[in-house]
Amino acid sequence: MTTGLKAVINREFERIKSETIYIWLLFILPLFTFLLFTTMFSRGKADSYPVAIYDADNSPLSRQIVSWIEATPEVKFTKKVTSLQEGKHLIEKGDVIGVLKIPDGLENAVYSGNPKKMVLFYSNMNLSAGSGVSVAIIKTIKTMSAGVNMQKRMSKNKEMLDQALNNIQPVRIEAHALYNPYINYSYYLVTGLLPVMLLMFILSTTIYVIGSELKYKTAGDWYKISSKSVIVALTGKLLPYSIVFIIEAFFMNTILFKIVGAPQNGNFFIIFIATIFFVYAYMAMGVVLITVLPNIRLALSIGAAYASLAFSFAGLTFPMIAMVDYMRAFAQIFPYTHYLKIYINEAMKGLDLYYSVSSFLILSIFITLPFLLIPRMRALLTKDKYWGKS
Amino acid sequence: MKNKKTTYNFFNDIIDVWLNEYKTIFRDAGVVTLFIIAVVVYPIIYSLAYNNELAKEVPIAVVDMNDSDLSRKLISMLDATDEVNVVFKTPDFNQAKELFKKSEVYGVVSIPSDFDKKIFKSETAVVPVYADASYMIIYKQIMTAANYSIGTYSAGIEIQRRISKKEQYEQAFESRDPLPLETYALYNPRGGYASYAMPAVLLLILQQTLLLGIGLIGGTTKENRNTHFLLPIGNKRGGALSIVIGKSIAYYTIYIFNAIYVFVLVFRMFSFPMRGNYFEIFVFITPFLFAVIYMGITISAFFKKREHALMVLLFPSIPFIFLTGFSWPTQAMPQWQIWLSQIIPSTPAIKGFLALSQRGATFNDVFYNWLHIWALIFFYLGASTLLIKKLIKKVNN
Repeated sequence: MTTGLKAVINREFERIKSETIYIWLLFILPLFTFLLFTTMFSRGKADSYPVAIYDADNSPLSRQIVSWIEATPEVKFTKKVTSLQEGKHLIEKGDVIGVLKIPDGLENAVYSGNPKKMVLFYSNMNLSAGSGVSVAIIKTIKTMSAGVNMQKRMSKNKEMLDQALNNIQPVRIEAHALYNPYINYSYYLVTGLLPVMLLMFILSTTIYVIGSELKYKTAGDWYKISSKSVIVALTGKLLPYSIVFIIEAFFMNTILFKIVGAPQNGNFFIIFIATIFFVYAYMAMGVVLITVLPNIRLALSIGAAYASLAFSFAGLTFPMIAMVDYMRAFAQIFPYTHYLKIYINEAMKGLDLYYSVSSFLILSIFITLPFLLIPRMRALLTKDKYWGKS
Repeated sequence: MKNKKTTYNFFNDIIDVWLNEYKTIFRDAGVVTLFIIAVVVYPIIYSLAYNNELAKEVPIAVVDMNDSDLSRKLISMLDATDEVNVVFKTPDFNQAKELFKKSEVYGVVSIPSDFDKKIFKSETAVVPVYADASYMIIYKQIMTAANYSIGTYSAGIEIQRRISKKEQYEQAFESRDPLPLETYALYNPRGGYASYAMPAVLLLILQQTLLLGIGLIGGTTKENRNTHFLLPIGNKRGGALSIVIGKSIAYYTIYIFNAIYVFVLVFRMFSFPMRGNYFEIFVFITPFLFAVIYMGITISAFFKKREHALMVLLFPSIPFIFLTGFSWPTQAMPQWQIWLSQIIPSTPAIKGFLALSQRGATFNDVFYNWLHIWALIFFYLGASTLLIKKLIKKVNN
C-alpha cells in the first residue's frame, strides 16, 4: 500500500466520487446561491413603492404635486382613496406603504398666504421602504414649496432670482456618500451575502469530510495511508476542498466587481490574499469544531449556528457601533467579521494595508488554532472509542 | 361494519405514530438541540444584539475652518441631535480624514472659512457633509442629523432676515413654507432595527429549526432501516398518510409551545410591539407550522444520511428570509424568484404575521395569506405521503 500525501489525496478523490452530496456542496449549491443573490439585487435600488393618494383639493396645483411626486423613482400612486381612514386601512393590509392627503382648498390657501397642511402617513415597519417614500415626498414638496416661495418673493419684492434663491436657502448641505456614491443596495448586500453563503458550505463540508471518517469508522485507514502523520492526513484530505473553495471565492469576487459592479478602489492583490485567509480560517474552524466535538451531528449543529450567526453580527445590516459591548465582543469570534472589515477597507474605501493589518493577524489566529489540537486529533484517528458515533 | 373498523384503525395508527415520535425526538440529542435549545437561545441572542434598536450618537468630526460664533452655533446644534456625537473638532481637514480612515469617526462635517461672511452677505453657504455609506444605517443617521440641524439653522436665519425686513414674525414664519407637510411614521416611528427585523426573524427561526430537526429525524430512520415500527402501519392502505399525520401532530404539539414562547415571552421580554390579538395570531400560525412540518417531511425523504439533510438545509435560512420580501421588496425581484418564494411557507406567513401583529390588520385582511398557507399544507401533505409510501415499498423489497 502506498502511503503519504499523494495517497491521501487519491483516496479523497475516491471518496468524493462515491457520494453525490459532494457535488451539491462543492459546486451546485454554492453557485446557485451566487446566482440567486446576484439576480435578486440586480436592480440595485428598490423603487416604485405603492402609495395611496387622497386628493381633496383636485386643483391644478394639487395635480401638479401628484405628478411631481410620481416622477420620483421611489413613489408610485397605486390607489386613489377618499379618506385618510381608507388609506390607513390599505397600509394595514400591506397594499400600500403610505397615504398622502392634499387638503381641500390648498391652492387658494397658498395664494391667500395662509397655508394648509398636507399630511403623509407612512409605514416605517420596513425601514428602507419607509424612508424611501417619506424622503422622496418630503423632498419633492420642499422643492415645490421653495418654488412657490420664490415666485411670491420675486413678484412682491422685485428681488433678483439669485438673491431670492439665496434667501430661501441661507445654508445648504452638500452630501457626499463616501465609498458607495449611488447608495446602492446591491453593492452593499450582495458583497456581504455571497461570502456568508460560501462560508456555510466551507464549514459544513470540512466538518463532514472529517466527521464521516469517524462515524463510518474509516479514520484508522485514513491515518495509516497518511503514514501516521496528522499533518499529512489533514493536508491531503483538505487540500482538494480548499482549492475548490478558493477558486469559488475568486469567482465570487469576480462576480462582485465585474457583474454587480461593486466598487474596487483598493489593491486587488490584498483582497485576493484576504479571500484565501477567509477560506482557510473557516476550514480551520471546521477542523476545530469536529476535533473538539468528535460527533458529526453535534459538530454540524453547532457549526450551523456558528455559520448562520455570522451575517447578523458582522455589522453590515446593523452597525456594530450600535451593539452593546459584550455583543460587539461576541462578534469577534466570527472570521467573517474580520474578512468583511478588510474587504470594506480595501475594496470600498481603498485604504492602505496598514489599516487592515490587525484583521489579517486575527484571521491568522483562527488558522493556527487546529495546530494546537494535533494531539487530540491523533487520538481521534487512532482510538476506536471515538468512532461510530451517530 | 368493515368500513368503520378501517376508520378506527386509521386513527389508532395515527395515535401510535404520534406517541412513538416523541421517543424518537427526545432520544436524539441533535433534534433536542434544534427543537428546544436553539429555539430558546437564538431569539435571545438576536434580540440582545439588536437591543439598542438605533445607532445613536454616531461619532463624527467637524472641520471648523471658520471658527466664528455662527459656526460654533451650528456645531452645537449638530452635537445636540440624538443621531450623532461630535467627538472631534479641528481646523485641519487632513486630521479628520485620518480619523475617518481609522473608523474612529464615520462622518465629517466641513464648515468653510467664509461661512459667516456668506451669511452676512445673504449668500448661500454650502456645508459639505461626508458620511460613510458602506454601512447604510450609519449613513442614514449622519444625514438625518445634518439635514435636521442645518435645515433648522438655515430656517432660523431666513426668518431673521425676513423680520429684519419688517415682516411680522408669524407672517415670516408662514410665508417661508407655503406648502407645509406633516408626516407621521406608523408602527415603528423611531425606525428601530429590532422592531423592524425581529418579528420576521423569529418566525423564520421557528421554520428553520423545524425543517432542520425533521431533516435529521427523517434521515435517521432511513439510515438505520429503522422503519421496522412503521412498516406494519405503512403497509396498510392509507398507512403512509397516517404515518405523516401522526408525526406532524407530535411536532406540532412541541412547536405550539415554542410559538408561545417566542411570540408571547420573547416579545414581552424585549418589548417588541404586538398589535394583534393572540387568538387570531395562533389561528394564523397553526397552519403555518403544519405546512412547514409537511415540507420538512417531504424534503427529508430525499436524503440518505442525516448529516446530508443538516448540511443542505442550513444554507436556505438566509435566502428564505430575503425571498419573503420583508426586507428587499418583492417587486424588485426577478420573476422566477417570486414563483420560488410562493412554495416556502414563510413567504405568506411573514406577510400575514406582520400585518396582524405589527400593523394591527384584521384577520379578514390576511385571509388570502392564510388560504395560501392552507394550499401549501395540502401540497406538502400529498407530496410527503407519496414519498413515504415509495420509501416503504423500497424497504419491503
